[in-house]
Amino acid sequence: MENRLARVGWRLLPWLLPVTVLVLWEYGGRTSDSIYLPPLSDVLVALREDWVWEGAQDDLLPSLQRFAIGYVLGAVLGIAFGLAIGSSRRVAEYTTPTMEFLRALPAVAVLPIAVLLFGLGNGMRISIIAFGVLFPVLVNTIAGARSVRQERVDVARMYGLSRLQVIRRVVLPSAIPMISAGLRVGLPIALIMMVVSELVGGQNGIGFYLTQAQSMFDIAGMFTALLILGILGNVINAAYSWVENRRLHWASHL
Amino acid sequence: MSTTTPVREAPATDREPAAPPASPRRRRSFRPQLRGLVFAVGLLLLLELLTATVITSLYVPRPSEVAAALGRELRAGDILSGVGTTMGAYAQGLGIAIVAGVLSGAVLGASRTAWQLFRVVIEFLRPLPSVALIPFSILLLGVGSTTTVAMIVYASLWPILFNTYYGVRGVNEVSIDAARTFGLRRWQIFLRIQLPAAATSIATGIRVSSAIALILVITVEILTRSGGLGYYIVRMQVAIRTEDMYAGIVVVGVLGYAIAVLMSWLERRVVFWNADNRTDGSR
Repeated sequence: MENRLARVGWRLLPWLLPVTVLVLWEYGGRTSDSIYLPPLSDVLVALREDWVWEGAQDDLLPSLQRFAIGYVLGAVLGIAFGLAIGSSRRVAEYTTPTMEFLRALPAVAVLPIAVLLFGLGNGMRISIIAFGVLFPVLVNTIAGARSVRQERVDVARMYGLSRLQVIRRVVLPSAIPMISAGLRVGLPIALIMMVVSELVGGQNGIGFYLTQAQSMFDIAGMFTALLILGILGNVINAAYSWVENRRLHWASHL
Repeated sequence: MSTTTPVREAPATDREPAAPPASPRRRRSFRPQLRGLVFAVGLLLLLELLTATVITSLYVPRPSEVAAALGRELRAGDILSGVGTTMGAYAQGLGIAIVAGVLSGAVLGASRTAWQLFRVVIEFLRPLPSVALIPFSILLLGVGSTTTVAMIVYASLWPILFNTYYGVRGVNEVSIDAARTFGLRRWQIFLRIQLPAAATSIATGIRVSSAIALILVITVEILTRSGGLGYYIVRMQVAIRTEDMYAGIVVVGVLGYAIAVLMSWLERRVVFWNADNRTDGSR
């Protein structure tokens, strides 16, 4: 009996702190008259008013769209170039230092270039997201492709596979665990770049909503944007883990 | 717990294969570097050629012009003072994050109750893109180095915290039991067994954070225009002094590369044991 009680308590323990924080938030917001701490209920009201569902269509959807396009673009380019570079030792030796340099360059520093080249539109935002994703994926793909066991390539070639077939059938599958790691590193970067690119003057998006709320001192509104982004980050993370577990479970035995 | 997937990462610099014999070693370590240099120079020459002939946009300056601008701006001291401001905030923020991250990660790793208590809050906060907090930080802390440092601390805390946590958590049970048999107290076990075993993982966390901290410091400076390299870059963008803007970006790249090289060197030096145990706390 006591044992069972302890078990239930253990299961409930993780929720103790969040609930306490939320209660304190509500209580603190009601008692203090600081405008920086609106009570939780105000935030929830703002959440309903601003995000269900017009706001979601106006700001959330365009953000997600740019995120998806930019992420896929950067990932595809990174994998393609990475395989091309990584399947030749010589090419990899020539290019790797340059790639390492470009990877170490924070994508935000390139933002001003994107603004000059593409203006303040979707092109700028998508390209900056893609740039942020490209290099982690690229460098990881090169490393993955380089790690292929030479015997496997030799055997494939012996069976008469062409260079392209070798890349598709041998190099790519062996590189997938590393590629997947790069894709995972790129995920939060893409999310960061999505928000940053919208904070720098825009027409719509979560980041744009955030700056609007900030300039109007709509603190409750700012909190709703944070909530949305927190949920978004968690959902994207969980979705990636799900796909990874589903599709790449074989890779852990490699 | 699906979020605990370890992430493999390509090493920041190409590593030597373990202890090759003396004479081939010189050849092997020298030639790839030369080749890398050849490629980089070739790429720059190609760009120079293209910008001189085909692409004659004002927004894409020639590499030689950027180099000239870089030399001029370095002598003028504008960039260097920017580097000073940026790296000052960077070092401060990363330093605080390391101390706070290792301490809290160690506590969470050593005590199951603490982890159970904080788990949900931490797991919610971690994937939240840190830059979204910049507008809050501006309202609460104002524009200036406080905001910059606070944002760096927040963003670079997570990888260090999680890597410390996983490191302390992943210590072999047998070695803890053995230590207990020898009569070590709990805090002794923590200091002499768990922390050294976690050191490689902590080092990885610090390396990951060292890159994130640079992203954050530049972002905050670009958004708040509060001085430093980020502000320098935006200022040049607004003034359409494109070559100077590119020069600033090159300096950021050099900083990022230098930090990456330094960190992986330190990692190899300080935690030389078991360097293959790499996990990533993601962001």
